[in-house]
Amino acid sequence: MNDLGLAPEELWVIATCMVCGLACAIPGVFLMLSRSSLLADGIAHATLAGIGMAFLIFKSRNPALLAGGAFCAGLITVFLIVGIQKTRVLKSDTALGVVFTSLFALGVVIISTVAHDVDLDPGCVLYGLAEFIPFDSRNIYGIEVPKAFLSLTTVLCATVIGYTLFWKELVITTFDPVVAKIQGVPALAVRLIFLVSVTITVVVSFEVVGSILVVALLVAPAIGASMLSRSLIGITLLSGFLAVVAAPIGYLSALHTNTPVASMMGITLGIMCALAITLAPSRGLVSLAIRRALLRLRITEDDILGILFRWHETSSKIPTIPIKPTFIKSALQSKTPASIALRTLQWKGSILVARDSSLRLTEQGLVEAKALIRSHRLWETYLAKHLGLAPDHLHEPSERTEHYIGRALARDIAEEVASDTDPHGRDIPS
Amino acid sequence: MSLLLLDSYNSRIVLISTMLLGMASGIVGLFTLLRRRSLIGDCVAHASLPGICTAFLMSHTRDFFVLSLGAIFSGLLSAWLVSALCARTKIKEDAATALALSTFFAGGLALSKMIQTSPIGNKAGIESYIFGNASTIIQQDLYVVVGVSLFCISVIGLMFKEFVILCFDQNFGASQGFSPLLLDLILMTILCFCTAAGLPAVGAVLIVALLIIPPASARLWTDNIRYMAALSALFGMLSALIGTAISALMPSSPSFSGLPTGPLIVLTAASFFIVSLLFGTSHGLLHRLNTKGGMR
Repeated sequence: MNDLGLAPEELWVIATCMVCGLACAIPGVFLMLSRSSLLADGIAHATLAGIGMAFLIFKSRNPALLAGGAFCAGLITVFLIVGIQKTRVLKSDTALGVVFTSLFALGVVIISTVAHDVDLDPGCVLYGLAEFIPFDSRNIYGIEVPKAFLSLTTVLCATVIGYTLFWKELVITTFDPVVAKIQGVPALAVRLIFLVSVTITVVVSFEVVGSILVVALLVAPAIGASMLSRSLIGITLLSGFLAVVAAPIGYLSALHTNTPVASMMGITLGIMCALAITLAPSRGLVSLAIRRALLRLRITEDDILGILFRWHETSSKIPTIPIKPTFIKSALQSKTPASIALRTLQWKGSILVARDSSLRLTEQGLVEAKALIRSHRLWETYLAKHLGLAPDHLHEPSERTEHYIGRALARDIAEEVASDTDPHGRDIPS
Repeated sequence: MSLLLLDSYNSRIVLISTMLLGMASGIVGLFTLLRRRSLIGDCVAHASLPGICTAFLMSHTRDFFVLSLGAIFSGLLSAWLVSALCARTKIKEDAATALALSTFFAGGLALSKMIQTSPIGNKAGIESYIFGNASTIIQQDLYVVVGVSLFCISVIGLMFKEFVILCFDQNFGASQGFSPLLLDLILMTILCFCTAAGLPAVGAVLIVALLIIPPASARLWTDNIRYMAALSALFGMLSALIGTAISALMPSSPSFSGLPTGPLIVLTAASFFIVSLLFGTSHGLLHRLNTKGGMR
């Protein structure tokens, strides 16, 4: 680490940000899953009122007292919101919006009234003071450890232990409170305890990262991780990993651009999320788009094979004119240009293009086309037999379904319908 | 009291502009509330900060008109991102909102710190857009606020029917030839206009309160949407009037710059809400107790 030329103080800042990120990332996953991510925003804003009140009552800047005040305000927010939700007069997001903005306004008013001669201003609540962490430290066995690091580590340990012990209850309450109740889990109590733990995390964290950016730490890693993994354990571990990685990146970029560490950490997490959303291997936007394009291409290929097979079928009975690519292009309504599909089919060796540019199925193409037409006609037969659809209503749905019927399903349907011809009297190829 | 307030041309303009802003955001907020997207205002408001800072860094002026263009642009961008994330991925709306809100705000804070440490002159007052303070506004800005508020009110007034349909039955609206997408875009745009107009007086963090609290209060009094809109506008206007008045009447000394307008307006709105929550004639708690008693 010291190859980067960082002073011990700077390493402490990075370590504290890592612990902070980790402590936020774990509850963040459950906030996201219970669809209450914005509650974190609410709690974070409302804490300002608590800080103001604590200062007003005790006339001291003792961090413990201020944190206590912030915690109380966070609790009041949680209970007010849950309370208004229970009365069902307002939607939960509206209740949240009303409560936290009012408490935030109260906080700004108190702080600007009483704190004009003290260096407590709403600005530092927004920015967080990550850079100043090492200046408030405690000597432990000869090592100067920042107090923020100690408190965050305590919160992190408590979170990890608590979540491990009550994992099952937490998961079931998050996903389905009603089932939780039926199973005898006190859903409301679990929910409230969870929200209290979020409040503690927010209060302890925002000294480091500020009241709004704590929202980024809570939500962004969870979102990024949910794009990359499907299992809950996987998402939780990954989101912790993302948060830990974001800390040094955020710190170093803040150092280079002379900006607050917290905001750079927030931006780093935002970029990580954007990357995960676009590039995630299975659910990213890019891979979704590629998969959709490939599917579209395959369907167009299938349709071309179908056209060629049917032409082949008719021309064996009556002589017809040779089929040309222009005909295929006008016959297909698919969005993927038919020319690409024609070229891939040619490349795969399923069709042959003669000198006069007329198209013909190869041996291999014939096998593929037969399988497709078999699926189509089997499905038509099945629909006619079991759903009683009129003959002129059979082609449309089969045209859509034919691409998704595999070999095994085709065999099952064949056994079921036990017929060699489709309802239109054409042979079902075997 | 009114004599004290209206003794100077400037305080009159401040009062009129905040009142109009209260009305406009009350009406616009009602529609986002009915669309169950109240907190998109929160997102747009926080996201306006990077827009303001970028506009300042590019233009080097403190001209409110230029800065609010930046605010509107980044606000719309964030709203679009939230809808795109919800439509294209499995991310839920609340998570998408929180993500856009916090990362845009992070960008805004970083940019504002850059502005503070940069050698560009004329940068005082950028900070005041976070919390808002009507006493730092110059007259020219106020005309923009008045213009934007009137514009928002008239757009909603002209398209009232369309917006009502958008809120209650999108599919019916679509079948009648109103594009929900276009209407949503218009609603988001005037929401961003409102947010930008609120920046100097109320600030980026608190403008969302004016978009949520008056409509939420109005909702408790009636089920008729026309009355609701009128009430919401009235609550917004009265909150602005009382809040600005208290702020103006507070003594200010060299060491104490007086109470900021924004939070006072919000607290006034909050007290209206508490009264509405208790006494609202349609969904208030007392009314509910009464009807429940009657049922037994």
